[in-house]
Amino acid sequence: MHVLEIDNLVKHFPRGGLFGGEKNPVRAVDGVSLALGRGETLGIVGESGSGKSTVGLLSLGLIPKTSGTILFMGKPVDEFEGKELILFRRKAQIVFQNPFASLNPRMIIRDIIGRVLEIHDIVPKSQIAGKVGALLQEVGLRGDQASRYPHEFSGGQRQRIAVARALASGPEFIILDEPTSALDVSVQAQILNLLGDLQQARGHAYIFISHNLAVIRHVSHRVAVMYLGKLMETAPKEAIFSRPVHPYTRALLASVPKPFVTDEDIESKVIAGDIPSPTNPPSGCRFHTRCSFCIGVCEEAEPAWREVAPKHFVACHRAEEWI
Amino acid sequence: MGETGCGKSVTAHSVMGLIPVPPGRIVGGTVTFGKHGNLLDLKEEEMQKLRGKEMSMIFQDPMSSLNPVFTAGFQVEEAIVTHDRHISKKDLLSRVVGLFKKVNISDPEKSVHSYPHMLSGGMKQRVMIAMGLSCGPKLIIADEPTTALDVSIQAQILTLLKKLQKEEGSSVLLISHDLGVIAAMAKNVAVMYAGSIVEYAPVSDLFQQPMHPYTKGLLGAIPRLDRDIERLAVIPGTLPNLFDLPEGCKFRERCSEALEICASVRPRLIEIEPGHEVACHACARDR
Repeated sequence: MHVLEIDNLVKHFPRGGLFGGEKNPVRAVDGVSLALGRGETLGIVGESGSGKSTVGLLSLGLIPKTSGTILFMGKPVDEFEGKELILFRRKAQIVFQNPFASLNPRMIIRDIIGRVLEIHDIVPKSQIAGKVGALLQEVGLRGDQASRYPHEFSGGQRQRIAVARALASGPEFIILDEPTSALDVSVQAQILNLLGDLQQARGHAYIFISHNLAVIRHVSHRVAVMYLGKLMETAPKEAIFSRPVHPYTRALLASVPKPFVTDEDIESKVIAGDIPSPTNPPSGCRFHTRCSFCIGVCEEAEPAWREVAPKHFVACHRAEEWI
Repeated sequence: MGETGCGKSVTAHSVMGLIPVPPGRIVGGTVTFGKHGNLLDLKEEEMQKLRGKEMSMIFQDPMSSLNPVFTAGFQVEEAIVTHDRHISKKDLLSRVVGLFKKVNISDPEKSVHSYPHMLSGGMKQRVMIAMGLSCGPKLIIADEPTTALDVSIQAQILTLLKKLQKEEGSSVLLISHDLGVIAAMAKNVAVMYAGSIVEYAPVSDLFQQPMHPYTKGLLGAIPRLDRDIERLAVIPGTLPNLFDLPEGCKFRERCSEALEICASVRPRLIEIEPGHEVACHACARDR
């Protein structure tokens, strides 16, 4: 059974006009279907406005969906109530991008992590301090640092604390929303290694949300590419990076400046145009306004989501030409 | 190139004379800028004449570096008028429209009248670049010009900067923490660590044969787009406290190749191969 199953998920954020009246809603997520297997890392990659973070928040039931289904262990997430909801919260955790904003500056680390243990009744009260110490050690900090405040730690250390807090309740899956985007390269390497080690030891699943394709390649088993609220392509990691099919995926991969490739001709690889607004997305295929392979049908009909190779799904009218 | 706190932005701000005094103070060294000599000896009024005209700066965040209550066109006009008081209104407008065309802003005649919130992030950064180019500077300092932008927009802006540099013949001092951006844009690279340059080399040498242990560490720590890496290399430890720097080499405590001398003598930049300078005792000894 999948840990998480998302089917045809839609999230529109309504926008009221300043003087009343309705404006077009922001179509943040517009028909996304994904599944997350046990112990798997699913990477979601996309540019701003693609809806990748909204998918993360929806999966945790932190914001209400517009339509579609989200199943956790086969049960709909938004129908959880009471004890079931608390159990779900225990099994589904998140680490946010900015560890400077996600840790309460007025609480010491022991209380920040201890609260999770207390609310979910993970260990008896007398053992909370000991358990916090053990969690800190697990993420590469010292147990005696538990009595400090967040401001006493560096960005990388704070992100370790945020990871420890997510681990505290023994989750089945963790949403990692750009967990290393605010960190330096050398610190990012430490956190990515840590996240990998923890998954190997504990066997939980990750949804890793990032705009950084190299990071996504490094951490993911499977990758989903989003653009303007839609999935463009999902495939196992090897396929998406060595045999990408969708023109957007290919263009995105080409347009990242690569270290070790000096004097690269980036000009020929540029995706033209701006990212359209999600309040008024293009008709047909959402990428057609910037796609160099666009044909007549792309402007009119939305391409079908189909499997073009084993476990390799693409939404592009011309997908079969490029396999 | 360097990580947070390495001093790359402070270096650029010092060149432009933008360090607030107090609390800042330039305590030594020189900044020689062509025929203008040492910039540190110039009076504020003289610097004012150079800034924007001979040297200009493009900042990281186009959202906060444009004034939200003035039109994009007005803000570029302002930069031109500061250095050319006698320009006519008509010439001014046509010059701004010309600049907007040059940086590929869509619909330039209309965009000059747009307020910043009406423009996308990429377009705002183009306005900043137009402003930077407005007086034909010899030096453009671009401080993380694409860090706040999406991948596809980043590629557009980098291409534009490269093209303009070719056309205008300006020199660009590009500040970035992104090794990919550096590889795509730079001819020569200076790697900074804790306030000093630790390695200076032509870009291909730097990536093909990095010498300083810090540079090697950084290159090993980045995830690759072109291949799978089992485990990322990690530079142990953290940046030293800049208030209380250790004696000797600032990287020593994190360095796997440290020698005895590294604890007491701070290494100087030495040219180890033609054009390739490194500040490292271990590198100097091995050659």
